Amino acid sequence: MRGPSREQLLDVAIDEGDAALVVAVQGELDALTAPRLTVALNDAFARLAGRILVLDLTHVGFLGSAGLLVLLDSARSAAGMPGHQAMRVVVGRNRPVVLPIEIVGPRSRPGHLRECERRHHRVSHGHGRCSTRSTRKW
Amino acid sequence: MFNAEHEKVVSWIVPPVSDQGSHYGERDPTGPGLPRLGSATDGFDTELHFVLTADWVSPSLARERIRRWLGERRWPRLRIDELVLAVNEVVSNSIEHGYGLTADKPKPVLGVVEVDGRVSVGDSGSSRAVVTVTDHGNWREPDPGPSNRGRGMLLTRACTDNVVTEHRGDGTTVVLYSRPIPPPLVE
Repeated sequence: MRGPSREQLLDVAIDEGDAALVVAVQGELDALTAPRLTVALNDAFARLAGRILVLDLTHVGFLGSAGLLVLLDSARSAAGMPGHQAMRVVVGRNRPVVLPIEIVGPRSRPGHLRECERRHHRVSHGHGRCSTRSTRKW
Repeated sequence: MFNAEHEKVVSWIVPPVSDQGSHYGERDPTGPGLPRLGSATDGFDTELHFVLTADWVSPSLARERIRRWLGERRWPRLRIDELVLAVNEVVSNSIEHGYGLTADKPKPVLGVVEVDGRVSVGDSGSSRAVVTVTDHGNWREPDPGPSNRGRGMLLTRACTDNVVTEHRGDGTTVVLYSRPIPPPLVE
């Protein structure tokens, strides 16, 4: 039995905007692919230059403990950087991702979450600021 | 688990649960006809058996097999997602802690992880999946240090009704009991 290759399981694209750097992940985040998210997030944090980092998991088909650990660890290791702001993680209504986050994550108030969603919309779509799109494959 | 320190560095943008729609726990609406639940007597193949190598590709293969197995039975999608996540964590545990592979030391070793599944139907007509994951490695308690921090077992327990772990002399067997799903609708 031949398994899927690493490339088939995960695709990470970076969208550079003036206000935000969006890391969009497609595929499955498990112990096989999580190390590649580590590399992508560390690189993104290093190039933030005061912008907000948005991690888009809307098109992730699976998120397990290995993937959760990577994004929490990356976010924490970036916390000491100058001008640091919390990483925004966008999951939409993507059940396989919402499920593990609901288990380990904080039970946030709905009002707070809606505010986060609005803010994300402003950041990534408002004022047409996400104009330069450079997509990098990992 | 998710502590105050994490609150400062990650902001989750998750729609409120009330907005998630009724698809949580609902049967797959794309499937034709009445939901068909496998049982030992209705001619459906309820048994699942496959063997994986101790390799980091294996969890994805296990997820795909479990998803297909329960998907063919028109299980509610949330129940499938839960069992897929639980099986992923247990198979990953066998690979990491049974056979000693870590994400940064991914060299495959000689060894296998066996997965068996069956659907059991209770007296009330409700069904549950029972999945057994067996390895022959030298199992040890998950390292509480940076490589694991116990999230795998937390996810597994939260996604199932019961988890039974048996440490044998020559490996470990974990039995997962899914949450029950209601009996099929009768016209």
